[in-house]
Amino acid sequence: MKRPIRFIIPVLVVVLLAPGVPQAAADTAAPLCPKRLSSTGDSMTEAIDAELPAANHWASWVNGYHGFWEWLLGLTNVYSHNQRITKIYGSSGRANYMEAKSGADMFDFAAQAAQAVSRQAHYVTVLMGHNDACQDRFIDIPSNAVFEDKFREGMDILKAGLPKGATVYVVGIVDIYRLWEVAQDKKALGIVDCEVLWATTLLKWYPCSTMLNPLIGEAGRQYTKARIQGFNAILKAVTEGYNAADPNHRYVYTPAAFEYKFGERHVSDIDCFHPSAYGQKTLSEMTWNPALFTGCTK
Amino acid sequence: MTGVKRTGRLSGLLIVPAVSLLLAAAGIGPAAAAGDEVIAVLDGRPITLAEIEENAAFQIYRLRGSIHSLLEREAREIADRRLLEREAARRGLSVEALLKEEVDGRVAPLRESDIDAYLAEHPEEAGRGAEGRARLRSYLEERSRIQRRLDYVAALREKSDYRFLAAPPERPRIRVATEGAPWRGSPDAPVTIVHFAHFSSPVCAASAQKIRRLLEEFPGKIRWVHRSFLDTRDDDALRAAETGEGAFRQGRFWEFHDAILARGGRTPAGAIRQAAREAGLDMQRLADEQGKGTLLNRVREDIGRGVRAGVQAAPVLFVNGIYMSGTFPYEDLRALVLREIGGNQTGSETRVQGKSPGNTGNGKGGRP
Repeated sequence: MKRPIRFIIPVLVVVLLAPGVPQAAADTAAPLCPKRLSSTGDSMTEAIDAELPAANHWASWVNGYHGFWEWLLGLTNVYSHNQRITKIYGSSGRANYMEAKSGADMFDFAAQAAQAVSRQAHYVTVLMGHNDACQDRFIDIPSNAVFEDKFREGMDILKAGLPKGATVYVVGIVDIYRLWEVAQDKKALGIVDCEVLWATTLLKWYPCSTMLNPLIGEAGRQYTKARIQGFNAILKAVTEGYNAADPNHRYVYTPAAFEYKFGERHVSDIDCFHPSAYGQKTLSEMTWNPALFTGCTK
Repeated sequence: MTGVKRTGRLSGLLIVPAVSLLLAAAGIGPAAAAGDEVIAVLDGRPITLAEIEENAAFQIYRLRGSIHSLLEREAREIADRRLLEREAARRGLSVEALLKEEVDGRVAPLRESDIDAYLAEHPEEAGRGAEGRARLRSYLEERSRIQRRLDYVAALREKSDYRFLAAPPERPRIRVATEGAPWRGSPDAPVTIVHFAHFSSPVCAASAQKIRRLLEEFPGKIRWVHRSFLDTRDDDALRAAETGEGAFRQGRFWEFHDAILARGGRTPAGAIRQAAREAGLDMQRLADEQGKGTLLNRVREDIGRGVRAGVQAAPVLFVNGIYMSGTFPYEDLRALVLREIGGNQTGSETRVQGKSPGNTGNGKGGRP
């Protein structure tokens, strides 16, 4: 008997991987091949708790690597953007920088963008905003206007300093509400009682009270989700605006990370919040878009 | 509303066969038990689902669980959408107009006194001056609207007959080897609990405390096996696990286990040495064995066993092979143990491998 469900995940991946063509202006400079990679972002990019407690840079969706030691230790090969770039474009001239820092929010984007500029990156990824939505208190979530200002500040730095032909790839904020749902799945399956874990081990730095605190209720969680959707709308509109106005660089937004329906295995058993190594691998698959570099120059 | 319910029931009856087929295909539900299904063939010899599940039962269970919850959420979403569409059609409105009338139109305007009342109840939300108050106003207004919508859809659901028919996947029994591992309790107990844990974690200490309580509550019914599972970059945890292995070789594992866990998961080097002395370990012999590195190898072997069984983060218990995180409340663990005691009394099979012949029968484990 055939089991169609076995084909669901591959089909989802294929659908999500369907190449999105960058909406660049016709006179945009040809893209640089993404040999110099620089990632901006937060703990999602640092792969915190993905496989082992703390940062797991080998398992980062964008900067991850899988060398001899990772293989020997049996760590997950996430097949990151970094690895895909080396496979397609070779190792000559490759550079792989992680500017992302755990805890960073949009207020930190400008500094990270400046770092990316100092690297003269050809390909800059932006996955940021989780810590803007994840706060101790609802009043700490910045207004849309402040969020947009801070995002534009960083984008201006990239626009002014990146080499001609560089690509800025903005990934929409992950659906944190989905992560909360997944935590309920883990509990239902007997894998881990995430609420106990949050309460007993993460009390000092409760990861995201505006979503994970059990006292805020369903309406509170949906409020935070709505704010994330609002932030993603800003990321999309601003990115498209820069792409239309700047012929020297490409700016592309993808909603793939928000829209993907993460499952229980995609979330770390260590903290019930960050993507697991498997989640990082899926994040890489979902967001990698080779069409960004079609016809690129070395 | 009776008519609605009848319609729902009829629809449910029609749906059942189709859902059963889908769930069978997804490996959820009764058909999943058909382990003799041929998945592959090698030179004419079949490889069955049951053989694959020997090695990957827990991973398959997690995938089935993900599919089950995905089906549940998507079905609920479709049902809610249909309920709104049906209600809108009944009233001759569009869904947008219905929501405007029933949600936006029924949310009371927020007054300054409402904000003050909220702040009195949640003083931690105060601060940030006028901007903070504006943000709070925005939050409270939006939250009221969301809550009204949730309540409205819940009321529509209440009047309908919605049932989700897919059963969750059954927890598999994982083969977890117990040979050569320290154990305590009754050698002939109907329930074996394999505890993957380490000594440098408050959560693991709490988990061990729950098992100890079970042993007291169900004397003679439980055999407790310890396996190390930890992050090898955690020096304290590694040193404590290594000392535990040394204690096992000296026949004093549980003395050390109890002494170190009495520290509540805080195990700096001094605390480990002190616990080893309290357990009556021969410290010179321990140091000699630590120098050879063989103790650490045994710890690594345990970690490998845990990974193969599906453990990602300690503490994890396998109750007669059934996975359960040590983070769950005592009552949940107790319920599972009770079920297993009952199940074993009626002859249910346990797939956990047999007791180690190397363990002493004194109820406290012993040398490998």
